[in-house]
Amino acid sequence: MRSIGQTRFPVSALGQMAATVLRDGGCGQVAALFDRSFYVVCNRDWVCIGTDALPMGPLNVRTRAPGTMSWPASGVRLDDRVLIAAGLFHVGGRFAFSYADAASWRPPSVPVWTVDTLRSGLITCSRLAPDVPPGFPPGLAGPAASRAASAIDTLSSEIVAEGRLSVRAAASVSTLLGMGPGLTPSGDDFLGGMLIALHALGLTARVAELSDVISGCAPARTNPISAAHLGAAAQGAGAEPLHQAINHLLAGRDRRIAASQRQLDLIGHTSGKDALAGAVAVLRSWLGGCLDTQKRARIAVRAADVDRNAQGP
Amino acid sequence: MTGSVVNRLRRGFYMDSVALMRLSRRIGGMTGVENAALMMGTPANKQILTDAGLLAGEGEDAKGGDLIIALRAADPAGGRAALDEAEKFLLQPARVSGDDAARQPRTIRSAIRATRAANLALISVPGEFAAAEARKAIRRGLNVMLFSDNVSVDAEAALKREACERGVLMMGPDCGTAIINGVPLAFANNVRQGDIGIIGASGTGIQEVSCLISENGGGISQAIGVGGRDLSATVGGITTLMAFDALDADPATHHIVLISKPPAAAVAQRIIEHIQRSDKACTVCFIGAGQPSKWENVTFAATLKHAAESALSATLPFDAAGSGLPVPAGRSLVRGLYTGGTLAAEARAIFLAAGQAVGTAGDGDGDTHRIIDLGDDAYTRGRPHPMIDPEIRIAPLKDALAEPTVGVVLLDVVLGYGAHPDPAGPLVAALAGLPTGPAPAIVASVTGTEADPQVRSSQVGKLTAAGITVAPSNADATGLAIAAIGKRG
Repeated sequence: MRSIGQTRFPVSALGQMAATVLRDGGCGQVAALFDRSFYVVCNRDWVCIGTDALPMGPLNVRTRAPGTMSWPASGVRLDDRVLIAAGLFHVGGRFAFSYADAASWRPPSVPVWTVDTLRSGLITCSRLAPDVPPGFPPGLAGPAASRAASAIDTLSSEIVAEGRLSVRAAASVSTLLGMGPGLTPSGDDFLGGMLIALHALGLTARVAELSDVISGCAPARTNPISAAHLGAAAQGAGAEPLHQAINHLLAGRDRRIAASQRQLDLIGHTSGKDALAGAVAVLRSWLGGCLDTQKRARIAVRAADVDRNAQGP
Repeated sequence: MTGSVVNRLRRGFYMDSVALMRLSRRIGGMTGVENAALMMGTPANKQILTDAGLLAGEGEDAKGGDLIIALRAADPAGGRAALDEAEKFLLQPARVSGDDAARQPRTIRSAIRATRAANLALISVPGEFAAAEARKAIRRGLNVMLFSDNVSVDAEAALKREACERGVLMMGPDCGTAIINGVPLAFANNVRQGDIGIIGASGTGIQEVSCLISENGGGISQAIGVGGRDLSATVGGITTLMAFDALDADPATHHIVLISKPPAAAVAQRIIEHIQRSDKACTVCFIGAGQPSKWENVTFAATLKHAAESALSATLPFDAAGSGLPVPAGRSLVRGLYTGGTLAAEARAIFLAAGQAVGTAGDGDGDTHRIIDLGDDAYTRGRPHPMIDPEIRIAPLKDALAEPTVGVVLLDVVLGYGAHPDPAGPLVAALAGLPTGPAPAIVASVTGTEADPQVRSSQVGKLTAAGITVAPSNADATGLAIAAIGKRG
């Protein structure tokens, strides 16, 4: 049989988790194959290989392969062996990707924002963003719909409240995990969005608490690829368009919010919007709590004034 | 709950959610299938399937990384048959091995060996490889239809020069539509055969003109796509001129229609001078260009509809002013959400000709009309073209309908081979779920024929029943929108 030569493409950018996997090297295999991308699992870590059309994210490896490349049609097969060593990773003897000179991607930093800019961003977003993950199955009705709605309500009300998450909130996480069709179920995307928004708000203790609950449930409740994305979200890293959308919301960049939502539409069937719904739930709860605090403070000041006036000069 | 519930499991099988949703709809639409769902077998999803009465048998053993195909069919045998079909669909993207692969030629050379009478190669490969494959075909004496894009304009010019020297047509790159000897290639419609030849630098432009001709009593001899840059200064109209000569020499062609966005001035001059040497009647439609007056022997058409009318030597009357679109008070803007790039360009040109400013997706500050080409790369990166997957238009449609200043939403619905089997269906379903209350009028055109797989009248019927006003052409739909807004203003 005539052998087929290996085609080599350079890697243009690496997400932070993907960079760690490639740096550590080793053997793996192609475990999920789509037309425009494929996932490699290596030592239980996951990376997603695509072209420059792939939105950047922590697990993603962007290569300079043609943007119109169909990986299955180009010879990549499920279970193809992957060898990662010495600045190259080889896929099934068909492709090699050089990553020594690849740029490293990290989520964009959070911009300067205030309560007023966030309020403005959320008002704009309320016209455009869904309250619940739109990716829940269209036929989701009856008990499943009420389970999902109840879980979202519970989590939204507790997610930025003081004190530890209640048992009900932890059960809500378990309810949402793995709910919905697709590679990353909508419930997982929603939770991922929550984690990234909590990071953006600097609520690291709550991130740790929520991610502990998620990582405890995820192996039994969702698929390993989605669990890997949630693991990245726990470290504050998600798809680049989600970070941009959250940053525009925080900074109240009204005109950029709609554009960033269009970019989110490019992630999966509804994954981008599902994640945004989770992020918005966190930001709304935080803003609501903040406004309540301001209101209480104003009432306290007024009460003190009344007391002073009653006491006279 | 009646019917037979059957499940099948694919262990460790991941599909992206777009493919899963599409496949669920496809399987749900199979004969004898009452309900179907494809989901990863997480506990939450198994509970959803249980609630829906769709979980049974091996589906109950699924883990989070397994795919469950679940369906309810009229009877067990029908259910198993549907599962078998579903599995075939699942395997389709990867079906490049086994007997099929053995029969499929893997190179241009082996394809020619297998089909010695072939004289045309349709090439669709990533752009980086496309020029090399096209060159191989040209050097073996084949006419080429190059569907691929991302070929540099210099490479295109070089390919076309070589094709010209060898006497074969190089259609493309980025050539999505052609009808050769009655055979529709790529995105094309099932039109009547006749004596009108079309040369087009745009896919939906060819589709609109050929359908209007076919649905109004005429027919098409050949429709030759040339690619969107053929009339640029770099390429110089090489394929357009060759196609013109071919149609000029074709005894079955009596009228030639040329469709393009405005060409480079020097190229336009050369093309028109060339056309003038022909004895055949010619119509030129440079969409959005001014109307030159000094060429007496060539009819210039401002719109695709006018081009069809000129070729038919007939008028296709439509009373835009009298159609009375129900535009709510206080709404004065038009949002065009197009799947066809040339149809969007035509709509923009009609707006500008009517003295109405019009922007595209990111233009302006929200107080101008906007015509958006959803087939543009910005919207289709990593997902199917909206002519293939009409769901892409649903979110922008809902956004447009929710905009308080929008009075008319303008849509195109493109039928034919390669297009979605029911493009009106998702539009109608989306509208059915919207809250009641004052909403923009929706006006659409349907580019297609009765002989198309989707059947034009059936699609028009669905849209009309959903309250959408359907105009006979894109130009008419655009005129209707402008008239409605003008009336309000």
